[in-house]
Amino acid sequence: MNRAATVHEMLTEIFREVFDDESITLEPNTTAEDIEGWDSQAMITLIVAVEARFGISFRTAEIEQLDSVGSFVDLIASKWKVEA
Amino acid sequence: MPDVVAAVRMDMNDQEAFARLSGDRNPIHMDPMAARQTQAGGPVVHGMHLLLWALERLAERGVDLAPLRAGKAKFASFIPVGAAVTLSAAIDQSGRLRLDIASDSEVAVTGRLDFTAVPRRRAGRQYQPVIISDEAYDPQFDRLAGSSGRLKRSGHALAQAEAMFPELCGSLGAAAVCDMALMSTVVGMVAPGLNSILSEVAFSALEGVGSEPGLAFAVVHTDPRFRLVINELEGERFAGRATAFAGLAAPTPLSIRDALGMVSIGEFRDRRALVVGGSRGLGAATSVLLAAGGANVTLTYHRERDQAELVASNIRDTVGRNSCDVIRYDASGAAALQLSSVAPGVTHAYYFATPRIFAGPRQSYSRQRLDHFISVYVDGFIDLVTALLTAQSPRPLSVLYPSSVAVIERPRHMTEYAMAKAAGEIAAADLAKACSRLTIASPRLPRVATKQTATVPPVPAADPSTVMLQLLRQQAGQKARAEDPADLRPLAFGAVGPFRSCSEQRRAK
Repeated sequence: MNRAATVHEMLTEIFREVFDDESITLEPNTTAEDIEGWDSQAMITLIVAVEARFGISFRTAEIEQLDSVGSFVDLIASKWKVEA
Repeated sequence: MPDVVAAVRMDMNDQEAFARLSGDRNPIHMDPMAARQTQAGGPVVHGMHLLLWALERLAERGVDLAPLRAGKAKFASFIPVGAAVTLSAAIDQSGRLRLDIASDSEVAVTGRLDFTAVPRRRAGRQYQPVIISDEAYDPQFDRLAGSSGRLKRSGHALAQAEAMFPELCGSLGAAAVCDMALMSTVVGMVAPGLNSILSEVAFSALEGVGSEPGLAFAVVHTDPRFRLVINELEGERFAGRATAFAGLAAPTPLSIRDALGMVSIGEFRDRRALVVGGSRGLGAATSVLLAAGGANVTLTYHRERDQAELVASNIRDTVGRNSCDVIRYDASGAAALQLSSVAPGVTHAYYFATPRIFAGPRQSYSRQRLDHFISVYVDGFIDLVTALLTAQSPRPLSVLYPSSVAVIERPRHMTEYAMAKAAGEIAAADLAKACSRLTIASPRLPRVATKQTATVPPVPAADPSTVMLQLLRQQAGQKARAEDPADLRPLAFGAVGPFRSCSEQRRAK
């Protein structure tokens, strides 16, 4: 499995946990409009969970650029040092 | 979610009852005037009160909560005191009970109850007792990390729990109910305290019974980027984790001394200004800047007289006793009558009247909300300008109508606000077009830092005094002409509200 696919899978798990919904499936073009409850508070919960799970941290400017699952996966993959 | 299983409308007596149980007397829940100064715009129901209310209603309807082992509640938006609240419940595919607590047709709290989880082992760490006073702590954010303590429940808490939630106490025990109530108190009164917003609570049943009553807390995570604070909690029966945001303290109002350093001496001395809504936020900054520049200011308030008098006395103490007057003004009432005590000769008017903008859950569109905004941003504005033109005739009048970037940026949940501001811009433009001695500027202001716009998480906002000073100076360059009867043009929508064209006003005099 390539790096982006691994990140995508781990991110899906985090989304399911945060939104408490096992049926969530993510596509690169999934946005906040597609997932009920993906508001600014949920976004912070996601960021904190992602940072803890991947051992990375985001700058505020990077967070502001996140507008879809695809951009989320790309940003995580660019920072994640541990090979899957 | 299936049918609604219960409904309620919490009032201030219910707020007091929960405060007696929990000790959470955060002013956002308990003090209508102070709550109006927060982003909630008015007092809101405690999130944990809503959760306990929902559990009590379920227990009443025969749901056996005795085997409750864990749960989670997310608090997505405020529920104002007095709002109609509904509870819906359903079992999901994993056998967990899901709750939706809604107001205004929008879900504000979601909950999940788990009856199969294994009880958690007790950590049993010893913490220093923390006495809950009636005043919420207001700690600095960077000092929150690592803080801990044990909140003692009050002597009457168990009895209060039995009185408010008898079925739930029967199933879980009054001590467990107190544990949950105290989770509200940790966040609202201690960490992060005064300016806190509860976002999420997860709780789990503990093995055995704790030896000490009360709820231990430890701040285990803080994140200054979002002003996020996470508390680990351990009570007599339940442990938990509370996620909250430390709100920003209300922005410090511009002092007249600071304003004197920003303006040139006497740069506004030719203005007799009426600042509607001058007791707070942008209106207060405008009043202070104008007075610092030598203007004679009459500022108005709707509800907050003390706030208005504070701004005025700040001005009077420094630039002179006669520099500032205060009157009460309700933008939805008749303008002419309310302005009868204002000395004639107003040259400039500033319209900062605003209803509550940001609080509460909401549907995507509400005609009622639009009407509410229109009544202030359009009808009230037209009425004010008309009354001033009549009173000031034939002198010129310069008006500032603050519009908003929301008209083009369209933030979520602000549809009616943006619509009403756009309508206000059109009204302002057509008013000015119809009357040569009237000038109206309606700049689209950026989001500026005021108590009403303070958000969690923080959103960048401009400094109100800098924004306003620039506009006040621009206004100086826009000179309206004294009335020339030959210039009068008929107004296309003279029938709107109480509005009459300039010529009609003249006839009426």
